[in-house]
Amino acid sequence: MIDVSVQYWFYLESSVYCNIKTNKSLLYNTVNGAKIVVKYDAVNDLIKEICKDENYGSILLGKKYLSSDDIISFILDSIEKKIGVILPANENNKPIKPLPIFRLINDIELNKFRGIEFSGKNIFQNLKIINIYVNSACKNGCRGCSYYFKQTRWCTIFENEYVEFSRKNIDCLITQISHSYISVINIIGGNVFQYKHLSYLVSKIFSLGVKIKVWSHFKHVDYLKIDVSKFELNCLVTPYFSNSDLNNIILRNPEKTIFHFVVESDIDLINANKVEVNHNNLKCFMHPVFNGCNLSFFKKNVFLYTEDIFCKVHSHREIFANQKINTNYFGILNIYPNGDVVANANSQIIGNIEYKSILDLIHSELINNTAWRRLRVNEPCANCLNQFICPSPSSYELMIGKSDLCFAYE
Amino acid sequence: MNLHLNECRRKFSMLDSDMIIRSLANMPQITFEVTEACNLKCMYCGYGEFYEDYDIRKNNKMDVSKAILILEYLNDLWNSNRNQSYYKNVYISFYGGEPLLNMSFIEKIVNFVNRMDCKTRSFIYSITTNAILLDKYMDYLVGNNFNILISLDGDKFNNSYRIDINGNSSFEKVVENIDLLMNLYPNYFIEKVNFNSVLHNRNSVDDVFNYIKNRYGKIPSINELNSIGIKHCKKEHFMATYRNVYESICQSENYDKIEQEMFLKTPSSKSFTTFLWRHSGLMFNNYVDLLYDNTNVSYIPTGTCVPFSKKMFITVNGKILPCEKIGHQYAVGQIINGVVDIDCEKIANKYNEYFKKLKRQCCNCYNVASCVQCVYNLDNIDDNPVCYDFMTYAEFLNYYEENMRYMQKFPDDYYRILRDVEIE
Repeated sequence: MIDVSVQYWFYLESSVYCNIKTNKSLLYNTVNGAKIVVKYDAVNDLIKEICKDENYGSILLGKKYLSSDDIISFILDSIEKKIGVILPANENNKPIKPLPIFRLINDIELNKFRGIEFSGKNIFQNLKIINIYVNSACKNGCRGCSYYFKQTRWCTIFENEYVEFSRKNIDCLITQISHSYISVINIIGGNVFQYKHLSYLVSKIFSLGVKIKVWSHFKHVDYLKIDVSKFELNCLVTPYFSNSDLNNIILRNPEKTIFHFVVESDIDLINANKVEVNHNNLKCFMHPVFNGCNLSFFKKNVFLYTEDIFCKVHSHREIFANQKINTNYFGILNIYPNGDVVANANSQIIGNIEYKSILDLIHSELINNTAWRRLRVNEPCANCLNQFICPSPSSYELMIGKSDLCFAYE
Repeated sequence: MNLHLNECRRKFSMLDSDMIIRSLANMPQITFEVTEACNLKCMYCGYGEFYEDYDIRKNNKMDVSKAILILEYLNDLWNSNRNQSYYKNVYISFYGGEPLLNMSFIEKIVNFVNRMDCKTRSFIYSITTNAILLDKYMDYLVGNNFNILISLDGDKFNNSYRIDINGNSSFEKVVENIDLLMNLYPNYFIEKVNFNSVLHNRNSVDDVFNYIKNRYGKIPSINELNSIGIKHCKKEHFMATYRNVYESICQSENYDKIEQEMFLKTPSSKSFTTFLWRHSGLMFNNYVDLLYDNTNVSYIPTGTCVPFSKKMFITVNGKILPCEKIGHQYAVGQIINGVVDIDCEKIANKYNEYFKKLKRQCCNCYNVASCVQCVYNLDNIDDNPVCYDFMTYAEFLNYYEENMRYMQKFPDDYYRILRDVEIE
């Protein structure tokens, strides 16, 4: 197919994402999901040449390149995967195909690099979700109370100190967010159904037209206490649950309620799956949690293989998003019963809603970046070709103490 | 690059009052028509013999109390929970007539704004002037860090439509004042002074560019004569005077150099920037855009700005308009009897009336994503408006090909735009 006596222009399709490290490259087609991992020096050098600005995305393949079997093999592979394109060359037909350069307007890091101060223009739109922990009352004594909520959305009692989110703080919050772009407010406890201002809070949020989700341990659910039609009920199920107790709740309101199971072991997983199988149409989610002793469970069920990373097609937008924000946390604020606000349960407090406005808090998080822009930039990920195709770092990486929860280093 | 053909993008929504109040609370610019009076009588003036869509000019000056009322009104909104910014700049612009003829107004407003209690805003002042009185007031303007936009059409002949009431050329006095400003405040001149030129049959882009670049080291903005609101009896004269910027650049001996040096000030590079911004899938307006796939976003018909999303223009008579380019008969509010009268519901309804007339066209147009057609630029908007920027699929492909050809010719602009250009 390639006549080595002829010269060709070679360029990459515009849908190709290119990640070049020192002596290896990844070319990934963001439309069909095809990829080529390059580890040969000659081919790697070719890709580096294509990526130079002054070549405008295309290079001339003459004898120098076409005498290399590695290069020919790469060219043919890239054509088949719709990653590369060749064109017989003449003097006047150099294709101008510059590689995609993504641009985020008002990029805080880029502006910092250019010495431009971040003013906080139009930042309210960045806030999408608020998690309100309304109280710390609970008598369940769940074993994982202090660490479940640090890894997934879960209830907690904040180290036994009893505090309630005050009515004054409710009013203050609602006033501030009445013209926001928030899509969801999650109400979590303690024991949410013991929170004395629950109806008031729900009705205030309901009047804003924002979706409300209530997260409660299944043992606390009390359908008599509040009209559940105004919100989506999410039941939290810890390991070693009583099937009969759980069945009582499931049978009361099976269609509208969503069930979340914490799983720390294979047994937990089996038990949770049994519930799902036994109740048709039940909406269930499993949330693995690291407890310090179950790394092998994580390696078996959570760590990613290459096939897992590439099981779906990643768009350019998604890859660029991973380069700029943490897609797990961005846009979310967590408000604790005493009014303290954090961007993530593992990050430091950014302020208190009683003393700082929501705009102040958003600005503070954007500047100080306790969680919203935490990227996959630590070793070994920083040197991996899959760096920004992998999902943003989660709380698991922090709890386990390693960045690469995978078997896919490339 | 991937072409985002907008088969799935032609979803439309209408304005509501909430959108307008939100725009007011986050408005980036206010322009005051400081006075109707002018010490020149430029032949092509928007309030001159060619045009008919403005209130009769009586040399009125703007009442300071009206300006203060609107500033207080807006300050309440900037301090309200509708404000979306932790901190941002607001441009306070002074326009005319010739604004330097009402310097006392400017001084009072600057004084008032500097003392306003607003923790979420900082204020930047700007003025558009013919520079006839610049020698008298430049110390004040410099002292208050004004951005100055000077109207100058090139050399003496190029500038010969810019005459005083006795028909004499303004050129010598204007240039003398600009030279004085440049010599007295050289750093300020570099940072804060720019030029605006009108293109007509006595100049060309080449002429204007070369004169201003060589004398002042600046790249001017060059605009065409406004073709909306022309008196019927003046149409022939107007067409004889009118010149198109793009054609003038193409006729230039130094076409490539002009395109490169003027960069974003030429129609073709502006078009290419808009094309990259809206159709390439490479540019994202904010962090939130990264999180969600926006291919199904809904649009407002036409490219008309949401009122007050870009600016507010106040006339000497207290009329409130979304922009100084819109005919005064389309005012959306007024300052009258000590009250700011802006009815957001009424404004939304009025706009939606116009949009409904054009929606059928917009639904079939392939350029929805980068439409810049303002509804007020169309003829007969109260009856049966037609948009001449409508694009069929074939026309849209043609537009795409034009921009690809531009990229072939000026590939470095692709890098410049994506890496360096700031877009508001």
